[in-house]
Amino acid sequence: MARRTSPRRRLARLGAGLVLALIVLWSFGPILVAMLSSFKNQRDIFTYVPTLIFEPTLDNYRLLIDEWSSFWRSLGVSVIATIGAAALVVLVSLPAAYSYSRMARPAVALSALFLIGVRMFPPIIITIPLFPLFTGIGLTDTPVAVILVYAAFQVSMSVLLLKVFLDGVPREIDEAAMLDGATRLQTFFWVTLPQIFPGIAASIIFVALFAWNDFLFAFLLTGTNSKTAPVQIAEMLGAVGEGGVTWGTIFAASVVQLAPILIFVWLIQKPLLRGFAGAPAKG
Amino acid sequence: MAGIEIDRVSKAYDKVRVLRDVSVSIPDGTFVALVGPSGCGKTTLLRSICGLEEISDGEIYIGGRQVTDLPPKDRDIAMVFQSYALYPHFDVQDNMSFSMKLAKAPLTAIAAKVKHAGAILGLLPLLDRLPRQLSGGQRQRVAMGRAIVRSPKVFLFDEPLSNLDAKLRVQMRKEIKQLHQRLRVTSVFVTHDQIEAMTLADQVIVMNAGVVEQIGAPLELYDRPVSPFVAGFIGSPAMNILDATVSAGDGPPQAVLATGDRLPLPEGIEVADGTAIHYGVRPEHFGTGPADGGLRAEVEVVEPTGFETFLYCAAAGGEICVRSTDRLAFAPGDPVGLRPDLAHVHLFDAGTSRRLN
Repeated sequence: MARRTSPRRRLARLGAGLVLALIVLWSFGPILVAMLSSFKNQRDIFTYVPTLIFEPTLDNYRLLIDEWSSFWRSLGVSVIATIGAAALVVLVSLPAAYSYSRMARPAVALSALFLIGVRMFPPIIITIPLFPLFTGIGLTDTPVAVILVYAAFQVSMSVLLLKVFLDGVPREIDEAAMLDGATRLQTFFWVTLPQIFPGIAASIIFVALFAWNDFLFAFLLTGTNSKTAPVQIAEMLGAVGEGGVTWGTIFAASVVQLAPILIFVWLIQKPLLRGFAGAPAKG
Repeated sequence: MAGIEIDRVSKAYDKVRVLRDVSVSIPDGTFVALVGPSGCGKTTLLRSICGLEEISDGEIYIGGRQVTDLPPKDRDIAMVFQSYALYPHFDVQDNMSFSMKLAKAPLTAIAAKVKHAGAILGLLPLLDRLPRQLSGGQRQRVAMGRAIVRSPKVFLFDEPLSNLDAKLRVQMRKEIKQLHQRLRVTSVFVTHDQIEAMTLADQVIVMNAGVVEQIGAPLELYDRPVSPFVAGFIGSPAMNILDATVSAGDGPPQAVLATGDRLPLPEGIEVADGTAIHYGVRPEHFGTGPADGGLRAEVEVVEPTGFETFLYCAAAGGEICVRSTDRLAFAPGDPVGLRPDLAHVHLFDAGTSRRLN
């Protein structure tokens, strides 16, 4: 018998679709405006009835390349800060998560509370004291400063996330490897680690999104020489009124800043979702 | 190959003692089943042998070598887990060869071993598959293949058949037995299924609450259980065990049940008058007859199965199971007299739980 959907269910599905469409429009709308505007002439950007059909131009991008080397430098800093933070977080979280998952003792478990507690602080409260601290050790205005801060903020989340994934890898698989003659380290790298790649990917995404988009910490800790892209774009925004920059250039800069992370997340989402849904490794 | 000596091994988690002074000697090449109810310590004992569990006290020898403080990888042991514990990201071939790769064996030797084990277990067409692409029985075989490839001194099996369906379980049971007959490697097999233990093992170790109750050949356990626990655990349906008191009276001593029913004792038994005993009779060792002789009972359920017929009777304040290869013509509600076969009565001291005859 063919399966028929009742009118009621069809209505419910339509409603759900509408809600989803609204959410997508809500979050993607501004991005769409920025993207479209980056290909528009200056005069088309602010017409009262937005022009949807226009002759696309690359002038804004050309201008960005020719006159804004500072933007590209800041983009480079962003890349360094993001990769650095993600690498540092994964490097630090993996051993921690492994300990929480495989060597749980009461004291160890208690320290997890501390990890969560750290996240409850409003970030700004610790940012101000960080400034003299970093100045003292000569880290302000270097990418290392933001890498450390991003990592410090994201490490707790990442540890807990990776612990969940490690918990999903049956201990018996570890034990089988040990009986097969592997040391604990060999077991971890050859047997356990490959099971939690989706978890590592998820951690990287969280850190990367945070580091790539952060404005606050970068603004406070990297004043002139190692501005990240969001700080740079904000500065450009400030210069609009003085005629130093056009809106088109700013939109172009935003799109360039947005593109890498968008592409990255898009590429990684499939294996990531598979990892979340399938749960790691059933022997 | 090697025998295993377990010498006064104890294991305690905080204050819970899961193993108490366990001493077992497993001769080289034998197949031993560790059996008992869940929580009796059988899996803990197995994990202690392979070193996944540290013991609190005692010593373990494999092939004459002290291994008590050695890590699992240095004990030369292979284990088949209940969940198989295959490496999900390795194909069958890599699962089987992992141990040899770790030992840095030459590639040609690895290939030869994998092929040999694969041929024994019928895995050759599956070598390139991942574990998730295999059925339960095939995974089970890969887990055994992984153990065989290592040519270990000892095989350990931790309830390896409990995740299989009934039919496959019987088949794999047979294959494990054939494998042992072929390789003759000392094997320890943990199970809670007494049929599995009886059919597979040369020697069965019955454990209860962290102690070894009895060690013996399967039929020895069946014919002469040393305690009411073993008597009740081995055999299905379980042995009927009745509480009674020995009463000398005028004639030969008899067992008097709480209901006042009297059962004869086997000849030559010397038990003091008034001793509290457990009177055990297996279902097949009750004869049936008219209600005025033997233990008075009332038939509750009749189960004809073809070869045998089971009677469940209300008697002596409880239920008694009778098994007969005669096609008994009873109906529910019929009165019946149950007569124990005195050559097969098991008597236990209720105080010490030890066998009396």
